Amino acid sequence: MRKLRAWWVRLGGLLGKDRCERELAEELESNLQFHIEDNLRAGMTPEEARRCALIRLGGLEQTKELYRDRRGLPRLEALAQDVRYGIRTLRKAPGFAAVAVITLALGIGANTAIFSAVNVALLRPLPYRDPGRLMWITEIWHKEHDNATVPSPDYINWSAQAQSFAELAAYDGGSEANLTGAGEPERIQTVAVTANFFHTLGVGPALGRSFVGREALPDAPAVAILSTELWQRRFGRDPNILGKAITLDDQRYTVVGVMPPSFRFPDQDLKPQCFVPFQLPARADWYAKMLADTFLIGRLRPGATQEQARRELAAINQRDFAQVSPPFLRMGRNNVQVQIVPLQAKLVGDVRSQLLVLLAAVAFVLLIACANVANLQLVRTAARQQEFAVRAAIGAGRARLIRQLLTEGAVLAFAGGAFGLATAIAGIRLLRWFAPQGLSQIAPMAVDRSVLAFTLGVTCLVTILFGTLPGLAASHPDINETLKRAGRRTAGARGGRHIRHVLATGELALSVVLLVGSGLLLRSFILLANVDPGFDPHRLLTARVNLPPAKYSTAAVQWEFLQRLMQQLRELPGVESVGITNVLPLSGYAGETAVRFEDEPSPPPGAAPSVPLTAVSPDYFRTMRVPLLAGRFFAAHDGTHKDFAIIVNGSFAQRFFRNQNAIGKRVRVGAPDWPWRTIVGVVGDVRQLGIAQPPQAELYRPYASPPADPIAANEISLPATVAIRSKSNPVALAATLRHQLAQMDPELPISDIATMDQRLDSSLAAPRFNTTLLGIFAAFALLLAMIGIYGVIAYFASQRTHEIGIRMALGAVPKNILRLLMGEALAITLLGLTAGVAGALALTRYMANLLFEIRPTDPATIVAVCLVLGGVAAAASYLPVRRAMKVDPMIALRYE
Amino acid sequence: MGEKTDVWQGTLALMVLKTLEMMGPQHGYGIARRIEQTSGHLLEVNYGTLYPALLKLEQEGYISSEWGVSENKRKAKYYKLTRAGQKQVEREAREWEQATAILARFLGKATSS
Repeated sequence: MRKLRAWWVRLGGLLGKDRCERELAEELESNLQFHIEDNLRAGMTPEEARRCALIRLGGLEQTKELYRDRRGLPRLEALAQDVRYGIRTLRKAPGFAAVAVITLALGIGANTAIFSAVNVALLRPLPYRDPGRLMWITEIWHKEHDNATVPSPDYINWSAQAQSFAELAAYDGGSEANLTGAGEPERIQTVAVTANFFHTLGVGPALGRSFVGREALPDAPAVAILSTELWQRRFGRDPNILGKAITLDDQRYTVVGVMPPSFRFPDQDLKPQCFVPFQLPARADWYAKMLADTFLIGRLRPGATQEQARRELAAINQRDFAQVSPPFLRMGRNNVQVQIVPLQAKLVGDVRSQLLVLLAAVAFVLLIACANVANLQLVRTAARQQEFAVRAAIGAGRARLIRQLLTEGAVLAFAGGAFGLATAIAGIRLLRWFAPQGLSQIAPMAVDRSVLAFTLGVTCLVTILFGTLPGLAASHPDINETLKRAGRRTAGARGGRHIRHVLATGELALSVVLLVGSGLLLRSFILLANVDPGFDPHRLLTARVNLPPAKYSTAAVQWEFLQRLMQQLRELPGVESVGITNVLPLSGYAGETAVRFEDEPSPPPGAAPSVPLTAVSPDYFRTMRVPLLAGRFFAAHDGTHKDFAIIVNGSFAQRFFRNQNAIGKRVRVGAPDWPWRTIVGVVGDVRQLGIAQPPQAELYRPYASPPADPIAANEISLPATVAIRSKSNPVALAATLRHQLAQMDPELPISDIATMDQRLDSSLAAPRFNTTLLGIFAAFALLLAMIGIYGVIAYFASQRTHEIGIRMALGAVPKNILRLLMGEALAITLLGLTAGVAGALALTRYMANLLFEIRPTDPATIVAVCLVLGGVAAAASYLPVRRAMKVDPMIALRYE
Repeated sequence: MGEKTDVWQGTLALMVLKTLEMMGPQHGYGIARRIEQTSGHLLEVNYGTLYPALLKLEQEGYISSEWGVSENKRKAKYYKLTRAGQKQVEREAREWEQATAILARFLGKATSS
């Protein structure tokens, strides 16, 4: 207790030093005077009295020093002294300090920025109650597709029987609805969720209540829960919104709740603005007319494991299969696999490897930066050998010298850390601005406490990394030698030289790995950017037209409207042609269907190949400029004729008809009792899933099907996206399109307007992001490595000026000198490149899924990188070597 | 700085406290004089140890100090015992008595430090 108090007072003693100092002087002075007076009384002469008193008092300064030690905290003061000294020496070398601080700031800043992304995406728990127990459940029907959805009967069975889950909630894939009423009609995203959905996640509405069980039954009164965003924007935060009605697709819904602003939907593909109850039958019924696809989230019961749960769900499936097995659903249903992954893993799945690669890259950059600064420090400490020797000679211990160097390192590191944080804040803003959707949507990146802690940790690590090395190298100076040599320049201390070589080699090796990584990404990106999408994306405007089924109740009515729309658009000036489809290229498939061939025996149920089917208007291919390979495009009569027409793509013809002519062949899609369709045309492959996904066999059917077509009979409503090929800038057409639509039906919202170029561009966003970032890091690494090699060779050359002078005086020609110095550079370069290539071969496979059509061990890239780095190393060593070769022996020898 | 100083400082602290207890408020020079006197001039107080010791006792709260004027009108810093210091004197005196008594048994006769 007393000790603590004393410490506290002493800490205070660090402040108000001047006053204490004055008081001590006064006190000692008064002491002296007392003594003198006593001596006088004892009968001494004044001089005698004073002399005796001074002797008795002892060394005045020594007393003061002892007193000072007791007053403050000497260790702390020594630290402060070291820091001050460090800052002073750095100020004397502003060039060095600036380079070191900037290098470290960039290294630390980049690390902090990337870490902030890692932090939100991978480390921070999901914003739900006890998120570790939340699981994402899927079924895999075929090996090729990992279907995310589970048919509703399975979900119904599971939620009734499964014991491993405390709760099992489902949502549909989301849909869009026209929100009409007060204000402009708009298209909003709605998601249907089961009544227990919010409870499963452990989040409740901010206002009102969640859904209740009976609201999820068919024919229950329509209710809705709003997102904060919709409530705020559309309804002005109306506190009395509960109980009011909103109109979605011409149907009235009563608002029962509003979600809090912090609520994040656990699926980054969806941004629901409104929730409605997921209406599912109470009993599993495979014969129901509509089998809904469900996305499942379950909360594991305490004690239950993922594997237990998976086995239980699979067992329930098996039982169900044994009891009811509708013939049309026997598509290998006994082979269906249940897959369970933690929700967090599912949400960050795509981003994970991307982030880890980036994090590794910035860590490398930081290591290189550290190596560089350590190198600079080493050169400086070599130049300061004298200073250290003197300090050691007057009694500074080894530990004291290391401490001083460490402190100097810390001063640099913390300056770098501070600037690095500023860099990171700017970097995060940049990241947020151009990060691809997946990354930015999970959660906003920001500098929070854990990011700050990370920066601090990195800074300390950096201090140790580049502070200790020079410290160790410099701290056992041969005092005698150094002082004797006093200013002479000969080949530097052995230890220091070795460390420098290792550092330069390491820098080079790390740069190789980074450059190979970024080279691979760059090559993939170029390959990707040059992929032929299968259509002409220029001068194409696309937009979604949303016809509410309540008003446009039948396919015929919808088609009639769309035809009128196309007709009017076609007549506009600047419009070349207009087409309509249910799903645009690059945006996925609308759905898949089983295919059977007329001249082949009908495969057993479930074994028929499954192929995506897209609906297109007659002019669609012409508008998109998809080439016709054989036969014809759809014609207007295909939509009315009794003979159903179908078009296949090149991959389909290749896969199913080999070299035979596909035209005129008949196929059957959907159920085995549906009609035959005649193939009338073969069109070129289109990148339907995304620019990086290779095309597969696909089918096209007319957007308008004859009324007798069972496809049309089974469809509620077909989405419609118009594509307009313009003669000039397509963006100008957007306003016209809006106007045209408003004239035809003012209640109709239009959504998702974009040119095809924009869509293509945004599908390149993620690879572009990775390539750019890694490219920046690699360029930075290259620059640092260049500086590092230059530093080492230049230092090496300057240390040997004397030796070179002697050699030249003894008759060495510049060529010998060149060999001497270049040998050194070559050794570093070759060793660095070899280690780097080995490292790259070991590490790049972790980025395999970021690459496109290129192997992680692509030899061309590796060779190119080695050439570039070899060239850079040669260039970096050329300057100092040339300088050394021009050494005038006379000057070099006189230089002594 | 070996252990010797620590032991010395430990005993010095007690001497200072005891002196202040006996004489009331006193300046540094007076304390030193008094200690030398009491020890029968066997001890010589080193100011390099006295002032840091005084500061330590003050930091620990056993004594307090204020500037005052001596009988011959000289400005001086006066130290006086605090209540905690009073208790500390008693405690330490007891411990020392015990320690010296034990040592005395070993040595056969009492020796002062």
